[in-house]
Amino acid sequence: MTNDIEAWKITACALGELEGAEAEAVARAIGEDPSLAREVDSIRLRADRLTAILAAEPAVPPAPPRAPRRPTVARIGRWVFTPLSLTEACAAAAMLVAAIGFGMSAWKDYLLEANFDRALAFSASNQLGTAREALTSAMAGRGSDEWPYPLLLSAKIDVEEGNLDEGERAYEQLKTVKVAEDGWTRQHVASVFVGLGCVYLRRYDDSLESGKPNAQLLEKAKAAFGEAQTNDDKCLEAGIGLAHAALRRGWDGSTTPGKINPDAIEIASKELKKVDAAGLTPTIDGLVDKYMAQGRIAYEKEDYTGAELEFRRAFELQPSWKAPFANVAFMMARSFIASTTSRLDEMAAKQQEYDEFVQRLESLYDSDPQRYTVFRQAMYSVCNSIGYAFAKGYRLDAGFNYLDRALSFEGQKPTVYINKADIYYYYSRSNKFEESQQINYANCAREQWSRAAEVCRSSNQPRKRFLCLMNKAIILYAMRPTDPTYQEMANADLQAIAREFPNEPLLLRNQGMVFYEEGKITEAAKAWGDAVAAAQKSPMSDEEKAKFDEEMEKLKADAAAGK
Amino acid sequence: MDSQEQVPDRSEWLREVVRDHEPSLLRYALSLTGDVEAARDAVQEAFLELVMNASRIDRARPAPWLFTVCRARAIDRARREARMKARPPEEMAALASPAPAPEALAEGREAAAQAVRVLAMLPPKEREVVRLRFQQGLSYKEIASVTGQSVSHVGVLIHEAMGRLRDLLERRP
Repeated sequence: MTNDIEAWKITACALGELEGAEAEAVARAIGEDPSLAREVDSIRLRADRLTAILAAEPAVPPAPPRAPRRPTVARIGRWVFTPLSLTEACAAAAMLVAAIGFGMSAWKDYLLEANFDRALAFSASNQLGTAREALTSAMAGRGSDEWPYPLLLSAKIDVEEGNLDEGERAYEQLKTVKVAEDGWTRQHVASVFVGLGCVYLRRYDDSLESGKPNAQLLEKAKAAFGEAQTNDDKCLEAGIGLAHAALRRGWDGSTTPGKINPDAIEIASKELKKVDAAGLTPTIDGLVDKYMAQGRIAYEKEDYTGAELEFRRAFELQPSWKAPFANVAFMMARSFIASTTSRLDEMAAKQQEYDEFVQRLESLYDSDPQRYTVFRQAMYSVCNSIGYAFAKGYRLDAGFNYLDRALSFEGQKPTVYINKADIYYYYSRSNKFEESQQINYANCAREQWSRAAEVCRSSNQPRKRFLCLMNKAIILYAMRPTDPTYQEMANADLQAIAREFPNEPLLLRNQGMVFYEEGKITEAAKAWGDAVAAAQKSPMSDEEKAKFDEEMEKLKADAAAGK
Repeated sequence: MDSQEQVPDRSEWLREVVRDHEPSLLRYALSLTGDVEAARDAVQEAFLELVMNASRIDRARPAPWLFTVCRARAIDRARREARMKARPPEEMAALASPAPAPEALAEGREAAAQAVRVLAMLPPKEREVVRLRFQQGLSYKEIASVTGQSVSHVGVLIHEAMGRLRDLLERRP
């Protein structure tokens, strides 16, 4: 036992902190040594005095009384530009979430009120999981049928978390709350309709992503926002929602600016002008939505500087939302046109800025992963967009470095592999390289498509997997259709795909082409016939079927003409 | 026991806990965050977690659990914000007790100033355990559980703090 330890034990003994044999041993030592006994007395004296002194420390005042709450609108419309792929460059996603109003007067219980407050605060700072926990406690303390406000917040969180069914159900239930009950006003009713509009917009985005845009959902969103305006003509968020709906209605899945329906831009601009003309300031979240819509309009008009400015405004107001962040980065990268030399040089000059941007996202994420979970997706998007652009501009190392970083953020998505494959495919077709290099790049593309297909399998994306496998199967054959080695490779690959995806029109079409090049005319004709028949039974839209038929007719005609 | 029987009992207990511990938790959280708002938030979060974990907490002595959670939340916040805010003058004014008699006011101010002086003499780790022991009345074991240190380390810290404060505390008031 060292002197130090003995010393602390004497203090502990003096304060009554020792127990059992240890206490007895130290007490015995004190009893045998008068100087130790005096020290113990001194310690007890100091302890009493210290306790008295510390009791006088000023108290922290309780939180000041809250100002009466006004109905506030909590969020959002957002466009997220996703990284480029061969056939699509950017996607829009929007989420408008409900307005939350409060009538706290009837809610006296401190802890329940605190729970609801915390839920609101966590929700406002995007800590949805924690907000949900707090809200659950609040709702357990008071039934939702008795008090609609927590249900309104719950609906908002559901929508933000992507539980659209739950969110919609809650909003539908809230539609039955009568004005004047529990302080429920027309503004609250408007909030409910804004929330419903957001649900429909999200559903529309999902339908768009699945390749089957459902225009009815946009109409429902428009109607909901209109209903919100009917209930509260000062509901600016409804106008902003209408602008987002208009921009989506005009979006036809095209990848480059200028393809959006000009009428849609005009309608959206008019809605936003009405918001300005109202002379009222939307809530912070509403403003973010507004800037996001304005940014989108500027983007569509190819005013990239203006778009970047609007997105920057949005992200300065809501730094924890990923979409403004990601869109600023996307505008900085402008990767869809980065293959032109001037853009690429501009991008290279900005590389440090991109790095700082990603670093900022990363440090925010590291500081609080729960709060900034959404930034993983943002970092992924930014790195993917920038990486693709650099690589497409023949800065392969820099580009792939970014793409690998993207992979580290979202390894379960096939997009990075698809983009890498796309880059290699692009190189394999580029005159910048010798033929042997082109073949080498094509093989690299095959490898990346293979990896993408594996990720698609594990993430249950069969259609994407099919397309990856198809690309892999035909890239070399497409370069040298008359080369028997590549014909054989393509045949083997296509047969393997056919086992997994029987009766796929595109597969049968390609099989027919390989047969034709091999001189197997009968087989080719049969495969093409099967392709047309399969297309009729496939879930393709009528328009797609007609287009496919037209293409097949041309193929058959070319074959007949010996082309 | 079904939930309907439990609720009034639990609510009453929660009210008591809030009433008894909020001031000391606020002071403790403020000492860790250096920011009144952050301290209030940390305490609110601690109470919120108390509500959610009420069934698992020793109702006879919730202080150690509360201080543990409050400490974690306060440190989270301090790290997250990583900045010390200057207290606005109106907030400093609000720290004084409301309207005591003139003599009491003078005495109270002196006592408060002395408490601040005493704590300022200690390094942060000693300051924290001294607060928990002499202001909150936690035992060494409880302090060890709150701060994540060993009981003996807590003992050493308190012993050293007592030595450091010897001159000041033995001086006649």
